[in-house]
Amino acid sequence: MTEALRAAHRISFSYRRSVGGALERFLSGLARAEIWGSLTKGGRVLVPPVDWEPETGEATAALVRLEDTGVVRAWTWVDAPGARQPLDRAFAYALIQLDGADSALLHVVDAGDESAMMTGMRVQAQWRPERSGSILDIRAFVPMAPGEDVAAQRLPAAEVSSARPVPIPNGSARGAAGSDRPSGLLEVVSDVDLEYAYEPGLSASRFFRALAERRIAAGRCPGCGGVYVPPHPQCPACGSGPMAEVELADHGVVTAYTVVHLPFHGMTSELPFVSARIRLDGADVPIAHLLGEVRPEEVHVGQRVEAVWADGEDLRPTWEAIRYFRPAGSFTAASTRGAVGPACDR
Amino acid sequence: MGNFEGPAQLGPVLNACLAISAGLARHVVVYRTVTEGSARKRARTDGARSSAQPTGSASGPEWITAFGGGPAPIGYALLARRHFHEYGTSREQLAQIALTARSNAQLNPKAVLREPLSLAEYLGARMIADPLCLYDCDVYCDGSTAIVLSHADYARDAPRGVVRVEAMGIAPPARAQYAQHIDLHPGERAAAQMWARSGLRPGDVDVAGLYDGFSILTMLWLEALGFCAPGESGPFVEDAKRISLGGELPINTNGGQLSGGRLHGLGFVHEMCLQLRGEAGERQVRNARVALVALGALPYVGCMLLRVGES
Amino acid sequence: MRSVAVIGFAAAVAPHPDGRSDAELLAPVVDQALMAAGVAREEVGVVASASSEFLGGVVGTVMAAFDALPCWPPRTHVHLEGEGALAFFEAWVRLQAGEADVALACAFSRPLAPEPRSILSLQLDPYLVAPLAPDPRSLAALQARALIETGRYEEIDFARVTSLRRRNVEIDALLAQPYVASPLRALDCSSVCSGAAAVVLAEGDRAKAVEGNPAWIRGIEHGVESAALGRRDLARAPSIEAAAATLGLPGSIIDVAEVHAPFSHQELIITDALGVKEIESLNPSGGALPADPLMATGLIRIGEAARAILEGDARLALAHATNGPCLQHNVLCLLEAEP
Repeated sequence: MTEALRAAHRISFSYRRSVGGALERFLSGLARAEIWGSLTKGGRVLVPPVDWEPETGEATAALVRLEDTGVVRAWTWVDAPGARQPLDRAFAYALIQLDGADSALLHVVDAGDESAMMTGMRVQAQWRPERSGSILDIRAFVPMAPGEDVAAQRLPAAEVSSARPVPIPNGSARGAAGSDRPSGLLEVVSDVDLEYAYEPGLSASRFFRALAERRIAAGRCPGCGGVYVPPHPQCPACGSGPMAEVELADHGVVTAYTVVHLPFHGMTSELPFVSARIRLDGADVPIAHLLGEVRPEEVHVGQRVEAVWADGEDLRPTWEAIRYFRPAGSFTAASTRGAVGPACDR
Repeated sequence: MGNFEGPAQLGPVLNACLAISAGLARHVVVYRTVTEGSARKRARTDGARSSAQPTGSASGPEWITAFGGGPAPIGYALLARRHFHEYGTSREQLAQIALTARSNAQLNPKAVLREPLSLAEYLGARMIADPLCLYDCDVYCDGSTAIVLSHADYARDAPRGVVRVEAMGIAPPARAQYAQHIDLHPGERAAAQMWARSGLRPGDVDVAGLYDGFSILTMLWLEALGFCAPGESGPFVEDAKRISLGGELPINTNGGQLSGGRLHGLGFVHEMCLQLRGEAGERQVRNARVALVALGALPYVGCMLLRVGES
Repeated sequence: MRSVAVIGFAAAVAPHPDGRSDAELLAPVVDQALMAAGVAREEVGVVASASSEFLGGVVGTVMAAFDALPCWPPRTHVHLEGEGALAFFEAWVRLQAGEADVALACAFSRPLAPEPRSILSLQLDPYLVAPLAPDPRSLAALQARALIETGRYEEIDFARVTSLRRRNVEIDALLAQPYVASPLRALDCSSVCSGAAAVVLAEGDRAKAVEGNPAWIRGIEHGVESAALGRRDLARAPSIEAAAATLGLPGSIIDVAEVHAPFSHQELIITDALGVKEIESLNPSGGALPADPLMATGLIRIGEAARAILEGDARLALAHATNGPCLQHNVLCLLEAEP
């Protein structure tokens, strides 16, 4: 009976991207509570602005400033906002065509209730008091006061607002040659925080449960006889399966090693540490693990090593059931519990 | 379209060639843009640790890391150690890859690292993952590379020199990395496939771009492509003149990724095209008519022969 | 162009994560497809696989899945981070280029996060869209709203599609349910699950040697819409219209069409864009709504359309696959019984 293992796995990091060209103009404009779009040679106004026209690839002619009012072209209501969503009460996502623009901008409408939403309604941007050059500098669009409402009507999707702003001469987008002077390096930060319930699979689960019993349960391919640690559900060489369980002893030979000096996210040992490939006796492929209780300069390819197992609660169905490998037959004081990982003797 | 293609960074180039030869397109743009220079600089100033893969987890990394995850330098350091053990390769020999790249970079105004580098400095450099030191690992940059591939019919209308794709090799190495086999000959099958599709031989190659994300990979490519016997790359490069600009097989004439900057593969294709078009300026190899590009880090590898085309 | 046909197909879905790894999920499906095609592992010259590691969460695990593929002794293997229909296209191109006579295209998907579709929306424009964190259902709902605003369709039309595809769900009962993202209801959105699919392709003579009716690929076309949602007319699919025109679809009669619509209103947009005169049987498999193994769903549409020809139930079949928000990237494949 093997129950499949599952572990919480979280990926969390910040990704920063610098911006330039039309995008930088747009975002730095938002910081000043201004909305800028680009004017194409054909006379269309695109918001958000772009450096090159989508259809022709030509550089856009100029940047133009628009009012922060517009019309909702499409919308959907979000009853129960998620943690990362911009508002903490029910709101609408909407495609908003700003007055003077020929394209729509995705944003949110804070209308209070779904019944207040309607395609064709007029909305106005509500700016945050503190702005940083982000699309979120607009807290939300809000329905305009009743006196300013255009009578509700179904507007054809392609209708263009009649008011056309005058292009401002010096607002040229950064083109392929002769770039503009940068106006300060704006960045957009993306915070990624994802949780998964990772499942290594049935074959791997069997292997890890055996490790928690201090057993190394390798697999032998019924087709070509290759012995794999850990076993694969199907032989990577000949495709046969399932593999028959073969118990291996916990000692073997170093086939390669490196002394790691480079810190990295997720490491579990102090620097420097020795990462090695070890071929257990009877196996046809090496495993990757750590070496301990040995000076780095004493490690060599071909060295015989044996496993040092965890004990008590640290003995779980993971690779850390084996704390590290040490030179076989070495006599050292028992490693103290609670050590972060193998520290190379100096 | 797609990622993680079999032939590594040559994947999109291969796709372009296939699309054109299948009659699906006449011209294809292949490009690669990297902003690792800015991203890394920011990560350092934030105090975050440099990281190749953000696999931090509350309780999961142990069985992930052991299956081959973790930063790239560790995996390639293990490869280098194995090569040293099996063939007696030395750090001094491996150093020639980095030193040659740096002296070429001094002639490339776009290269990132251009100060001279000596063997003594290399040997005394900070270790990253023994035996790979700082100079065995490529340098990040921001950059963008684009090439246009076209149907051969178009050659006579081309405004500048034409470079023909002679052959490509894309066979994957022995087996997926996770079978844990340290394969010291990952490029062999790809190289064999490429040579089988051409009448050219290693001796015909005038200049080469051999992936140097880590210097050990360049050594492995020299062997896989047949410029020297398996395991003999150490002695082959020991006399640095051989692989330097005036030598019998100049490699990585723009400084490679070790000194030129990590353009992630396509940069080599660009440099070889410049060489074949006679546009490589101070680092021009004389009479360059055949060039070779070999890319990839395990387990994805690919190689390509280029030659001067008739316009 | 070489004649290439589909000669085998298999797929499996798993409603909940059941402990199996990618390889354990994919292996039986690959074996079944090869057996259905009468092809031995050694005969496969090109393997094209597709999945999304973002859905599984652990970088590099895709390589463990390759255990299930006939990749050794070495042959061409390409892997795409994306939809299986594109792996199918890749395999077809390789056969066109003469690299082999038999190819295997497969896809597998094991979404291991609580809200898998939201993972994909992390791939949206990081500057101006991602900070607003629109979930995929909200984006699809904007498209549904835009469709209603054209006056061509109403919510009852969406419910009709949902009722047909999910079977045993009445239109009135559907309309009585609350919205999850107005105007879409929960059942209007596909049920995401795990799954795998494999399709075997073969060139002319090899395909003719099989028992049954090979499904000959008369054409494959694909195209993308603008990445900027605000610049698109969400109620239409110009890339589908263009692909359909290239394939000669307008005015034709299709026996079986399998279209990939993860949201019920999208089925209406897709069929309008195809411009065919008549579709005798649309999504007999149920389409994407009842079972959507994200990266394999499009390949399953191709497999199901091919199956109709393989089993002698159709002479002309069409498959559609999509990727990206609001039908951004679309693939069309036309299959027929005649070589």
